Amino acid sequence: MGISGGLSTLVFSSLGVIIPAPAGSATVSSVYIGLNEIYNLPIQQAKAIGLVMFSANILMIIVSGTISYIIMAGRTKV
Amino acid sequence: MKRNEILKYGLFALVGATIVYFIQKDFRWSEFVANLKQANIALVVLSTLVGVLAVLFRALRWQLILEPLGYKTKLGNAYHSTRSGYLVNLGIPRAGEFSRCAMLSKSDNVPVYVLIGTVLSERILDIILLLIVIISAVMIQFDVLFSYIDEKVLSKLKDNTLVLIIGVAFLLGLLVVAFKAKKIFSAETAIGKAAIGLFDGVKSIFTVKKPVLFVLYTVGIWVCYLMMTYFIL
Repeated sequence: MGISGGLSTLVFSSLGVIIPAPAGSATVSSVYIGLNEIYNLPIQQAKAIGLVMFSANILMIIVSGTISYIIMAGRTKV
Repeated sequence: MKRNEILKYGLFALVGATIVYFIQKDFRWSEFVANLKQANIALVVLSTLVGVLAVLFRALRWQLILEPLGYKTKLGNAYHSTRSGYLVNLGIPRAGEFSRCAMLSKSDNVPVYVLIGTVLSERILDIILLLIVIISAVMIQFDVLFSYIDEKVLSKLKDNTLVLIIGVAFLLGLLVVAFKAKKIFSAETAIGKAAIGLFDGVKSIFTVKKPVLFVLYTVGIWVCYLMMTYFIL
């Protein structure tokens, strides 16, 4: 899909972030609907892309967010 | 917990459950696993590392916004409070914005209301940049998007008089609002006061001492977001 396809996918995921769903889970739907409806990607492939994007992001937030939270808790004595 | 809060979190949970339902509906796990196996793990890892860089740019930009207001913050604290704010957002949407302000306020002695003001400015800037990204995507992918809109929306509108009437009424409503804009957005009204507050927030962005660096960090954040998406594709 190239960089331009990446730009469109970024728009799909950003629109998903606007929906106040837990953990930004609406991005999975917005990405797969966008890729499937507009770019005619097979639905399973589109869902896989949405889920991988979401999972990678969530995993990173949990791991690094927890480390950062512990560091900040030490610095602020929360 | 107050009744309003229970309702709010209940609504979030409902939205989440609905999304999960629609994702798993008609989901063929074997095909999904086959697609997942094709994913390049190195690129997925690279994508998450670029995500770290995006947060670093965000922390650097936050420091730049705070500088002209007379507050010097440590980069590490700005970074870690932003990062942990994302973690809080996982549990309660948007609460991370307040928690990151509260953390930096405690660690670097910056009044929390000043920090909330800067976060508001950041969010306004993000919306402006998102609009730029949307416009760029539409311009670059015009053929793909227009053929979709033509096929799925315009062709159906042509045959539907009711939708056309609603569309025309909506446009007429917008015209009325445009003519009455001066009255609606005057400083005395609630909308006017909110608009002035938002404008003041945006203005604080233009007082940064290093505007070039500020623009570079902002562009850097969105380039990181683009690369995070591109690597997964």
